[in-house]
Amino acid sequence: MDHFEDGARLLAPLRDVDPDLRSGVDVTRAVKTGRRRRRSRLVVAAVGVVAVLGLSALVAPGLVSGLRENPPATGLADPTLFDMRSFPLQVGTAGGYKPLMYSVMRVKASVSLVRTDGRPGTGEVSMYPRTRFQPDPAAAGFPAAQPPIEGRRVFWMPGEATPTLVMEYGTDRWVQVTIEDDQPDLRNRVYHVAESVAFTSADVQLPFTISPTEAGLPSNLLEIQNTVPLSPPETSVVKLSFEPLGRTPQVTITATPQAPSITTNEVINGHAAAVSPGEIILRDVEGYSFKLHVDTPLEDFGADRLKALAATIDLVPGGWTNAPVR
Amino acid sequence: MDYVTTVTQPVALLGLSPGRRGWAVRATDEEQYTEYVTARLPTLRRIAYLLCGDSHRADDIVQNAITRLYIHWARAKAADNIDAYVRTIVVRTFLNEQRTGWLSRVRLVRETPDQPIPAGPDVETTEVLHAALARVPPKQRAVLVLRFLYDLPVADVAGILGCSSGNVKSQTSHGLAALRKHLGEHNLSLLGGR
Repeated sequence: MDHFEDGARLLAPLRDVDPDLRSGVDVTRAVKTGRRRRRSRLVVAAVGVVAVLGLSALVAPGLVSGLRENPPATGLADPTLFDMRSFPLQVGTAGGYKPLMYSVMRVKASVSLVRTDGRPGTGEVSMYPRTRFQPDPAAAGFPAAQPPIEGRRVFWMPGEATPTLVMEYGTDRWVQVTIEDDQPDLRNRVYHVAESVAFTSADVQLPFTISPTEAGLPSNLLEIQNTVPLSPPETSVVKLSFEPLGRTPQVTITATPQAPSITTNEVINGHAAAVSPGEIILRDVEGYSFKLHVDTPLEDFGADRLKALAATIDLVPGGWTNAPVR
Repeated sequence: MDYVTTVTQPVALLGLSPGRRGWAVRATDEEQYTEYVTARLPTLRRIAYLLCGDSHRADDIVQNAITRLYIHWARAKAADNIDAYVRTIVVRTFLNEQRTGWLSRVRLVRETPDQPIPAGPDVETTEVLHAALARVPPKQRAVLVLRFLYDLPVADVAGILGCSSGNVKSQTSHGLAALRKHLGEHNLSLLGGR
């Protein structure tokens, strides 16, 4: 009997299997979440376009017509971008939601929210530099939210599937607050979340450093995430990009004190590791586990490169750093 | 072109409608998406269930997959075979969830109370088989489901998984061996697998 006949006969009883008839899948929620992710992707894409244009102008100004004679220092050297060593805002527990994870990129800092009662429903507070997100509520006639929050102008974004509030911060930043949930009175909840935003920075905290350069893989630091509570965070994430201006390939490095139950098959830099396509998990590096995940097919990045990168991970002796890339 | 860039300018550069409406799929597209997904939901839930062996997790996988489908709806619509395109998203979402699950598994869909399972010898056999399949490594499991329950040729499975046909063949062989091992002699003989 060949493989096909053998397999087909063995698995035949499962041909009639169906899941529970009562579906928990929510198409409306997929649309809402898809809209939000699409929006985020386009903001990132927009930044890429701006960066390319900025670089083109720096390298070959003659190729781009119609530029100002002395353009302001935006683009790659934009001083309003986030330095990624700290989270520029903090969010309290309000409106039935609490912060779950903080994230900072050059062009966006955000706090993801979950419901305090543990039920489905999420939210996000995001801060953007004005050079990257510049709504003009007054000109567009956005309805103002009342009253202003600590003297800041706040507006409701029209045409959104979920209540979305934007709040001006200083002269060069905007904050956006949104919640996706089926709870009643979402506008009030969004407003309360906005009231809980504190514009005090908190250092990012990473228990490790990594050196793409030592691995022969120059890269850009894309994003840092810390779970709540921030001091110290249980889980820390560093995302690296290996193309100067592109989105791929990317590698996500996650550190956590959790010990996953995995079978290791290699040793990397003296640590037991589970190496599988596109992913390496280092188990028990002085109490931490690390996961390195390639956000692209492994063949585009190469298992050896990922191993070389994993081998450069060092714990910060007895503490934390806000600069994870050596 | 001004150097100081608002969000709407690069969006326009990308060929999309300027302003906030450019960030969403157009209304007519959205209706087509909703209609398509609603009609295919049982099919998508079934393949996810066969892959992961758990109704709740299957719903999570489908929820993630249809969200990705929304983002890529324009490309999906233009595909030669939209059902195959969507099936690929579901399988890859499952594999991705397997890779990231130990850190980031989050319930995305509402819990529904467990339904009592009807008793009977056939049900028991199926349960045993499904449980054994769930212990087969994820990629091998995906190969077995696609080849033997969806009758897809090796080349199509290779396309879905983004690997070579040779790799699919070896994963099939390893997967069947793993399934036999997890079933054990007794169950294997009940299933006529020896």
